[in-house]
Amino acid sequence: MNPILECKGLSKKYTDAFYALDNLDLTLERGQIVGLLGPNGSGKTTLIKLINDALIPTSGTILIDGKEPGVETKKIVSYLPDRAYFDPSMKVKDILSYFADFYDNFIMERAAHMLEDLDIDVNARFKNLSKGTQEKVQLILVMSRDAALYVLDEPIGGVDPAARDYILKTILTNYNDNATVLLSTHLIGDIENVLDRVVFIRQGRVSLNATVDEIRMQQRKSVDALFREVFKC
Amino acid sequence: MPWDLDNDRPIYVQLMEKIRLDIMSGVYRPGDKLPSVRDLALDAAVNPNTMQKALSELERNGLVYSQRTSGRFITEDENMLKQLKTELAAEQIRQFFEKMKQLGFEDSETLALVKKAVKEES
Amino acid sequence: MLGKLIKYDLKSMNRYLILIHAFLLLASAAMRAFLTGPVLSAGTDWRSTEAMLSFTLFIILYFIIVSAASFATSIVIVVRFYKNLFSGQGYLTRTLPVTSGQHLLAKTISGSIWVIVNFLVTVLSIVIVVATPYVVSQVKANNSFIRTALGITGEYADMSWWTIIAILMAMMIISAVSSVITYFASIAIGQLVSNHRVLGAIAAYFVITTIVSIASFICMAILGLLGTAMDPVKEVSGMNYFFDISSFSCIVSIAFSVILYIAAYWIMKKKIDLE
Repeated sequence: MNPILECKGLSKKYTDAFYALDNLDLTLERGQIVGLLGPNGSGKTTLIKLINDALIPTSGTILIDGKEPGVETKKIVSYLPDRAYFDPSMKVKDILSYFADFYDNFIMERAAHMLEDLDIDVNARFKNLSKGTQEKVQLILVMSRDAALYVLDEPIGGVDPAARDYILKTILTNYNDNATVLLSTHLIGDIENVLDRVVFIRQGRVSLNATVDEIRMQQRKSVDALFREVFKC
Repeated sequence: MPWDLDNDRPIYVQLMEKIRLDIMSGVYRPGDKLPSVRDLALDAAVNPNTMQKALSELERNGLVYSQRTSGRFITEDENMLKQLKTELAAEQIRQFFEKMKQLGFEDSETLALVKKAVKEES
Repeated sequence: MLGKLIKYDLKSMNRYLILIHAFLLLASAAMRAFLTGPVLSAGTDWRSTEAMLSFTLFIILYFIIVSAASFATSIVIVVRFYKNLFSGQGYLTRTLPVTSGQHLLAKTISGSIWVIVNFLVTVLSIVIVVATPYVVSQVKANNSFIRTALGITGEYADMSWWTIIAILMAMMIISAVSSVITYFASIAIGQLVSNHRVLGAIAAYFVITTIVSIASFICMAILGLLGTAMDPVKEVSGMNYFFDISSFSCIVSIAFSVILYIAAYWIMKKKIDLE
């Protein structure tokens, strides 16, 4: 099967002096959980927005499942932004219907089941849920779509360790062998074991693309430790 | 509860160690069916691909065999299991002597201390 | 997809607007009760100070309510457009498998629906207030006088009230869609000003309306529509003039709406940059 993501010479400039992405090359195969790691301002968010057709490249190409970002790719990409993005006045069950309405690959039973597991009242209004619960609801909805590429932007930032475990478990439970999960995060140590491979982004380019075990075998240190070394201030 | 894994050694190696340990300690008996890759990965909180790699290695070593549609099973080969036990023991001993050397003990000194400890225990 | 987008837009706007319009109708009923009660029934001395005062007060209050409903409608439509597409919610909306063209069209349709509903309810409200039995009988009695006074003479003398209403409705719909498109285009243009998107939108709105006014004025002068005083040769009955002006302003509305819609569409398609 073709790679799920192909970026070739991808650049995005905001001003003449500032290129958020600078000739970035990256190919992601299917069926992997990939960590996208890099400091703030490295281009992670820009890359994620480009994947989701929320930005237009300045030059270069980006293809998802062989297609340019658009309506067809949005059907198979499930995106979790790192902020609250639901209409706060909506009830949880309204959000479920909304997803079911617009996404053919939304699996209602899966979402309902997970919400039940966490004792989340579907009749509650989103704004009345605690922040941690809001983040879990957002994640549940995103993971309940049967997508080919999941893009999760900081899914575990700002949640307690128990919730973190639950979120990682959710990702592991729901990802199917042909889907790829692209996880952008700062909290590398907590998720290393879950990743297949990691991609370090620095100043708009890929500075490392290797499996976790390769790094551990070659560098004899954790990805977290390597990251701190590579991105030392 | 995620398995307790070091973060500076390859994950798949540690997964193999844990499963071998489980076999030795009797969690899995000869001939037992292993849980699916997915279930094991979930239990360990690791990537299914990594767990897959670990299991494939165990298969290569002959500790585990797979039956096409039924899944993976622990070997019933007594000799192999005995050999594994010996290997694991040897590894533990090696590591122990390594550590003692770091503390400044010669092998002979270490051996003497061990004999003394065993005598005191019984 | 389009239908679904419209459905959710309406759902969100209905929450506020149905309440507001229900209140408007309630206020109209109260107003009418007041009028058919103490004030305009044959017996009351409606020239007394108390009557005049309370009458004026109620009229002002009613007028405020009507204006508020209309203003609220515009605000709700604008806020929905902005929030749903350009704020945090944009992350959800713009990753839906829907083109930006569909988003713009859906919001234009749902917004126009509410502007039209607001207009109709306002008319209904006025009818409720004004069409007291006394007034209705007076109008019926003086039908032809009213028609002459309004200038519905000459070639339009036989035009039925229903035709006139139909024409007014058509004009109203064009105006509704046009105003909604103007709001949206202003917001879209505002998005181009990176750090001051809201201010940019407000500025754009004033600039657009000013340009449209100036352009209309110039065209009207050229076409001799500015008033009988400026072109005494043309035979101008009330209705004649009315139709000239109306068709002209409709054409201007439609022309500018098309331009603004295309501008909004282009901006949304090419310049999307979620914050």
